Amino acid sequence: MNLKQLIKYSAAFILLLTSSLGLYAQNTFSINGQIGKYQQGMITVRYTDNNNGVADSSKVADGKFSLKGKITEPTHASLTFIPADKQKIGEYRDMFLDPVAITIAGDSTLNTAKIKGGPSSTDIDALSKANEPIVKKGTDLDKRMAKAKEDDDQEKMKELGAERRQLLDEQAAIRAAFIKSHPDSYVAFGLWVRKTRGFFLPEEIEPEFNSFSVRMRNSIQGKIVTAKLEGAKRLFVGSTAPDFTLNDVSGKPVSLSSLKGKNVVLFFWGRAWFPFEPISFAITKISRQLKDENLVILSVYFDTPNSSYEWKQVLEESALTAGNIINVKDTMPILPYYRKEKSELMKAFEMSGETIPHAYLISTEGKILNRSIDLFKDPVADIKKSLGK
Amino acid sequence: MKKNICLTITAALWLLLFTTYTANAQVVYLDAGEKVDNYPKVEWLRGVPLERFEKDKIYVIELWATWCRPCIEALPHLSDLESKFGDKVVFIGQNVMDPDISKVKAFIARNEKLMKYNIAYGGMEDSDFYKNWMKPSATIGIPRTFVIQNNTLVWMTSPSELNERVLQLLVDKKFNIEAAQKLK
Repeated sequence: MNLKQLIKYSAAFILLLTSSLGLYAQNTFSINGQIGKYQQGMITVRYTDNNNGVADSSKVADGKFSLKGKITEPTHASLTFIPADKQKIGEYRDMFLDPVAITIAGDSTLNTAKIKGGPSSTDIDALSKANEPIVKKGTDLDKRMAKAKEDDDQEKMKELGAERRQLLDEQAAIRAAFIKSHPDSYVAFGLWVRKTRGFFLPEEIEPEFNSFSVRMRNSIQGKIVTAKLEGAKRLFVGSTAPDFTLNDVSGKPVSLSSLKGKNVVLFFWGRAWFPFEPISFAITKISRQLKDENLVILSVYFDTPNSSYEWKQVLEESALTAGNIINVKDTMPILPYYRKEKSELMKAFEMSGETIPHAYLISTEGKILNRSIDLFKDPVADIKKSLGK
Repeated sequence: MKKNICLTITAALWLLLFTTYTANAQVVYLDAGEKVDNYPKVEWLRGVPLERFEKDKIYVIELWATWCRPCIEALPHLSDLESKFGDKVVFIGQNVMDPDISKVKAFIARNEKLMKYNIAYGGMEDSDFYKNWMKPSATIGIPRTFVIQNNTLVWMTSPSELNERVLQLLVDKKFNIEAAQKLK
């Protein structure tokens, strides 16, 4: 490299550095790590920024590594360390990224190293500290369980099983207390928000959500919860079910409103669900046991345009071919909630990969009678109850 | 004469075609209250092979595997019931999801005293038993117990819910699921 080139590169580098400092300073994080000097290999940080997955790797040389990146707001991340020596086992560690300089320091493994960073790291430390007695009890319990297993002592195993369940309850209580006492923490909010995956009861979720700070409620995850809550409220028992039209197996359009006069089990599903048998079993059960009721099953199947599954074949295999089942198809993949590629139907019924399979019961007048038919336990009893029978 | 032979062959072919067709007719749904006539094709390892359920008999079919600990724990219990009700009820220990039949045979030989009833080998996902029994009944976990009376599947339950008093209800023709569940 000649001098001219060097100057050119340096100038570009300085420009890059200053511009990133000026524009993105508040969003940049860096991780400087030093673990045991004998450690060589590769370390990868993975996190989600603004609903996009990001991964970045760095070499670990004599235990030293450095990573950096940009984040819109503090977020959960994971570190994976793969040693160069293939005989050695890799390591995985959860952490939180704040937009600050983070240090990871220790003289042996990644898991025993100390992480120092912003407020989220402090919160994780507080939670870990609160969890310490549980971890200690758990380690001890594991040993006793291994012993009982070795002795083939069934009574002891049962007793220890009960002890384990109690320990898990204690751990859940500690987590709940942590969430309650940290209303402005990304760590606490991140733990709580798992409750809102899948189908939830808005009357239970809303007051809990409102106990978080404005900053949390307006965070990326917070905005998703707000949208989900609004959606759930539109689909309460008593509201009119949104109308839609899709083609049936023969290509004939079928609309929900055309089924007025009959009670409708509106069933959303896709073949990708595993294990699938209990789902097709539940629908066949409804179809057979309620065949004399004024009821039809509108079975909405979701699949991608170039799927390896043949819809008609799936229907035959699942035995969803009885006379009181109307099969229609929406050519749309089932994706996570935040993804924008959704059909009108998916938007109208607030559906995502986390909520399918799902079934509503809709009255003869098109009103929602049951927001979530219990498909796994006793769907027939659940439907009868909603119909007042 | 030639023509006659031809006709007989055609008839035989048709019959063959028809029987294979009916044999392949898949059971799509198996739940309490459903009629059951045929037992799926399995390999009988012990006892009397069963092809068709008889109207006046009671059958208890328990699904098990050599890798399934709770199933193995339930084996003595089934033998115990067999010793008391063997003349009135047909007991079948139906092995499922065990890839290697020789291991199943070895297991049975080792545990002869625990398994005093009919035993059949079902096989994996491509087997007749899987397609015509496990899949239509949405059986995704074992042990699972099926009770059949009067050519009807009357109950899908677990070994722990099946006891002498429940079997007596069946013998007395007084069985219903609610009554059986009260006898837990």
